[in-house]
Amino acid sequence: MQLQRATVESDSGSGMLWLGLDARDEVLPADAAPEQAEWRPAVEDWYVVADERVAGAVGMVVAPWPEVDGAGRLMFSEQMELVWFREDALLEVVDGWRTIHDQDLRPIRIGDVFWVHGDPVELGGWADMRDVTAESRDAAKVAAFATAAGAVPVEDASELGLVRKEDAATRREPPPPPGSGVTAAL
Amino acid sequence: MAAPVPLSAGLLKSEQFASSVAADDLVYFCCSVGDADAQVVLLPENAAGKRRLLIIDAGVVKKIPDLIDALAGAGLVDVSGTDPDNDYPIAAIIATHPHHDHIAGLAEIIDRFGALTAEFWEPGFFHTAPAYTRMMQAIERQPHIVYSQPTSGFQRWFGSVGVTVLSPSIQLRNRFDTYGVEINDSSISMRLEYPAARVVTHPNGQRNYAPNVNAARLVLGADAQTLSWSYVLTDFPSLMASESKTAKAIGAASGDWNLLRADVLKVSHHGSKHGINLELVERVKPWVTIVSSTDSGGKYGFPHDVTQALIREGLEATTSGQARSTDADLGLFYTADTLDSGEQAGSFAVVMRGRRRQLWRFLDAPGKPIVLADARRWDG
Repeated sequence: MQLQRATVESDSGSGMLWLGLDARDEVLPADAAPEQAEWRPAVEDWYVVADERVAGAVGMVVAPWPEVDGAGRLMFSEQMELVWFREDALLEVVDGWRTIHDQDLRPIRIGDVFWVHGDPVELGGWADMRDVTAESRDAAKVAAFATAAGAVPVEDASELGLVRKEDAATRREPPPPPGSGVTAAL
Repeated sequence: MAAPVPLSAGLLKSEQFASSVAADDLVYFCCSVGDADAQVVLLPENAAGKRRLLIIDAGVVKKIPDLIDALAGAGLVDVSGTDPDNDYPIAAIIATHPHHDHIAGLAEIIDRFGALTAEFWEPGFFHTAPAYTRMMQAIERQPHIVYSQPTSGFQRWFGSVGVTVLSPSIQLRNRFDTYGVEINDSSISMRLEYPAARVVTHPNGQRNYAPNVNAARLVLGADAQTLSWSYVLTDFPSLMASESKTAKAIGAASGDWNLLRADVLKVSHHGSKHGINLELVERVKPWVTIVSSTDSGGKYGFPHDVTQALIREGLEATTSGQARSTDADLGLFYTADTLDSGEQAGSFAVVMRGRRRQLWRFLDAPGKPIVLADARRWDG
């Protein structure tokens, strides 16, 4: 079965595809595998997210790959479909692609997101896949916090003490030396 | 599950629904939407003589807008946006949790009714599903809407209707983003009370405190599961069984000795076996228990036989071998109910004021709009 595609209509957008792993590209080591650095989603690809787990099955929401509008917001079309896979069969396929693309192997968790090339509603139709969960979770936080507290122009961010996630990670204080009597913050 | 036993069509009386709703009635709608949730509360008229709505989840796009249009057409609410005394007839839109079957229709509803909406609640569980992103962006486009992430114990009064948030516990809320909380357990479940008024005024200028033991109450369970309910049962303890000074003091202060007792229980998680437990049903002890689900298990396999059994036991304690009352006699109903005439029983309305309680069905299928003229009043 092949889903019908719908055109994404963004209210203020440039209609650019979300690049997903691009944010990760910025911090990829210089010797990253070429296919890892050059990977790009295409307009015919799919955003597939684990939404619900019931009795050994996982409900996956399948949507056309999102665009990004002129304000940097992920724009999903109204087209969404819920499909169910047996969890063990899903994990076998997912971990197979994770292995090929040198991504971490782990159990399926609700909120996991996969870029899927091919037919997303049949596991046998997944012609390629990337685990984009981390980037998608950041995008979900962006959607929530932009609603809750607005967005800050980049020229004001530094003055307000806002730092990028990657920068914050590198600025974490090193653990205290053993025997110093100081407990490290987790 | 076993399909619900068909209801007797003879017990559903064809009466005029819209004209029967009085100005000071609270009306709770639980829509028939298959494997999803969509609920609306029509609040009683406020001091200015205006009605407002609460929208609680919309797992499908059209059902709730169609219902609101029908209510507006019947003169029960004004959503034209032209009433200067009722700027925000949608008092709040509440996304109980970000599962697709609860929020898939909310972005469209917010886009249409956002300018008429005062508040938006959601639990603060970041979800990667497209419906979540679309919903949050729709709220972002309505900067006047007050956005909140309530946790247990939060109380909000919409006129004379009090809403107490039962879950999620703050103890769950603080570990949402660690994968330590199942998404269903992020659900905002609520207890509504009407009237919440506790003060009576007299012509001589006196005011008296008057606990209302006859208030109408609803517990709306969203998709909260066992872990979440375990916090609810401790956060909202049963005081009735205790003769301690503390219990009496809390009861006297709140006028409410059983903090979970309700006339209506909207069963959590469509009757999932993890969605509810016996003690909770016993604590709520509802007059009407509503399960939103399909009649054949649907995509999720809900409601589960185990859950149906424990609800029945919670409503009617039995001993071995004792005959069980029918679901209808217990007040246990399903959006998937059918009639012995072959029709679908469809969506619910529960009309409540003081001790007045009425249950209505609309004979609509999940994909069809509610037609108020098709209403039948349950006379069981």
